[in-house]
Amino acid sequence: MTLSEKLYTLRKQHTLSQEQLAEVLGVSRQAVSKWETGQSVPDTEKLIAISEQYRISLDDLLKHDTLPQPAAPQTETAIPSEEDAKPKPVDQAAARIGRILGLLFCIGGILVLLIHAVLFFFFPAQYQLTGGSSMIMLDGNAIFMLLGAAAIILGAILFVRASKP
Amino acid sequence: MKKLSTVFKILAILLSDVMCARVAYTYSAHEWGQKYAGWSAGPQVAFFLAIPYLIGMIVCILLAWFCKKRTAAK
Repeated sequence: MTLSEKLYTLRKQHTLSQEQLAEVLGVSRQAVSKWETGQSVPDTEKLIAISEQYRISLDDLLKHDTLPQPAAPQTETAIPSEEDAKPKPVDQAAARIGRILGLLFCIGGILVLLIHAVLFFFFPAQYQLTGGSSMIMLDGNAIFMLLGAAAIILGAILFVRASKP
Repeated sequence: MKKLSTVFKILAILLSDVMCARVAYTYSAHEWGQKYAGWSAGPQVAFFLAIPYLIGMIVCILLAWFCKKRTAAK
């Protein structure tokens, strides 16, 4: 069995697409395709990463003619390995989106407060929070400011949750 | 993450400056209003304006601390 055949077989055994494997290894999909068709060979660093990803030794990958039998399916009481603990590509993308959304909400809320303050200094009569009776009114201005504060809190929660390992 | 921490610190300082300016302006306006225009609400109501800005400042400081912690952990 050649290296390219082994790479193809291992990828199929682990039900990964070329894109998923490429993302995990930090290479392009075309690179994975070339490895599997024998047009190129992964470098040493990538070979080590592939052996860790598929949990086989470099000897099995490079030297031996056949691949070792795939491991028996883990039981519920089995201890998850370090490989299982690594974040999957889908989780990483969701975390990234969560962080960006959180930042957008946070900075958006801060901008709302800052813009409201700037407008207040230019048009104080329209943006003050007290009415003719000098009582505090919960009108559109106040709600606008409170929404800004709520957006900051929401954005912070989203950002922190998405950033946790 | 380190840059984000700096950004949040700057935003917290900016919010505090804006909060002080706004509260001070409203306080002095209400003080004048109570003295000369017969307004019933005292100047202390100006401090209600600080609430959303305080929320923003606290959140920014917490986020700056969180980002700094994550940078140190990496």
